[in-house]
Amino acid sequence: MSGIRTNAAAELLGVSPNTLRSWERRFDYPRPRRTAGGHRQYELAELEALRRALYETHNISSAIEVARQRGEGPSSASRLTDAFDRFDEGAADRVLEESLAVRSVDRTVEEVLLPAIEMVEAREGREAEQELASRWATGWLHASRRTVPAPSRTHGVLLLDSSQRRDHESLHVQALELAIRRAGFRSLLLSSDLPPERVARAMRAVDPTAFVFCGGHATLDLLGRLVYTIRQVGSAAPVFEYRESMPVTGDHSIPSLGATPTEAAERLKAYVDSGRLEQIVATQRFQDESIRLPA
Amino acid sequence: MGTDAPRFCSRCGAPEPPSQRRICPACGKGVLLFAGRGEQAPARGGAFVVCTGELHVSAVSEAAERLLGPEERALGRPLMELVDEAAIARVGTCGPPPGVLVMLREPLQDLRKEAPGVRKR
Repeated sequence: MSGIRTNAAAELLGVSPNTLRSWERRFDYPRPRRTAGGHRQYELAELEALRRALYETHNISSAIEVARQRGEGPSSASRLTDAFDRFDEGAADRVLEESLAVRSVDRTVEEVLLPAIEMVEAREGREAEQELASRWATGWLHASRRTVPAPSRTHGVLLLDSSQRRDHESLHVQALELAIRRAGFRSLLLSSDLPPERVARAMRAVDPTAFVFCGGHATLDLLGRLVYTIRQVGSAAPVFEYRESMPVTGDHSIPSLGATPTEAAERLKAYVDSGRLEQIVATQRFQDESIRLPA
Repeated sequence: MGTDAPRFCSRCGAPEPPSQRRICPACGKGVLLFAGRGEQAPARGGAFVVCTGELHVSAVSEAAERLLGPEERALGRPLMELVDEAAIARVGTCGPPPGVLVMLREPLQDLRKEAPGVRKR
C-alpha cells in the first residue's frame, strides 16, 4: 500500500511536520504506518478526512474526533486498527465488509488487513489487542478461503510455513494460501517443522507442482532436510520462497515469489503458464546441494 | 466574514493574514478563524471562547482555560453553565464554520461559575 511521507502530509494539512507528530502523540491521530526504516506513512483518506473536518469545527480535538468517527475512505488499515483497539470485532467486520464493496478480496487483504496487523504489532504494550487482531484476522482469512471456488487448475502447491504463532508473517502465509487458491491452484499449508515422513505422506497425496517456503523463521538445516525429503519422495517440483524466507543471504537457487500474496500468485501463474517451471527444476537439480547442509 | 475581516487563532489569539492555512502557524494548537466583518478579533493571548449558534462551547483560548478549565472538559457544554453573564465582555461572530465569539472580561478572577476542573477561590 502506498503511503504519504510526513512532510507531504504536513503540507497537505497546512501544518508543520512537528505539529503533525504532536497530534499523533496527543490524539493518536492521524495514525501513520511505519516503513521498515521507521519512516511514517500516512493514509491519504485519513488526511483528507482530517482536512475537511478542520473546516467543520473550531478546534483541533473536535476535528480529529469528527475525522476519526467518520472514518473516511471506504475503509482503511487505521480504521481496522481502531476497531482492534476498542476490542470491537463487529466494527472490524464492518470495516472489511465496506472494503469488499469497493476492493477485491486480494486488495482488501493487502491494503487493509495485513497493514492493520502490522500497525497493531508495531506498538509496545498492546499484547491483548495484538492477540485479538491476530485471531480475528485468522478467522477472517479462513472464512474467505472457504468461499473460494473449486480449483480451476490441476496444479497443487505445498506451502511449508515456518512462521511463529500469531505473528504477522503467519498471517502473510495464510493470505498467500488464500491468494493461491483464488488463482485456481490446489494448495496445502503445512508447518515446516513437521517430521519429514509426515511431509512425505502429504506430498504423495497432493503431488505438488511447486513448493513454497514461507513464514520467515526457517533455519538452513530445516530447509535442507525439507528439500532432501522432497527429492527423496521423488518429486522434481521446484522450490520457491516467499517474503525472503531463505535464511541465507546472497545467491541461492530458490526463486522468490515476492513479498505480497497477489504478487506471489501472479508469479506462480506466470511460471506455470509459460512452462518455465521445468527450467527451474533443471536448475535446482544441480543446485540443491547449496542449501542441503548437514545438521 | 470575509478575506478583509481580521483572522485569529482559536487557541492563542494570534492574528494571521488570510491564506490557505487552517492551523495557526504560531502555536500549532488552534484553527484560524475570521472575525465577523467590521468586528474586532481577540487580542493575542486574549481570553475568549468560540461557541456554536446554540452557545455550546466549541473552542477555548489558552487564556480562557484559566477560567473554564481545560478545553477538553469545556467543549460541548453550554457556555452559561460555565460563566456568569458578568464574565462576558463582548460577543461577536466568527468562522468558518459560523460561530459565536465570546470575549471574556479580564482579569478572570471571580468570574467562575463552577468551571470544570477549576475551583472557585
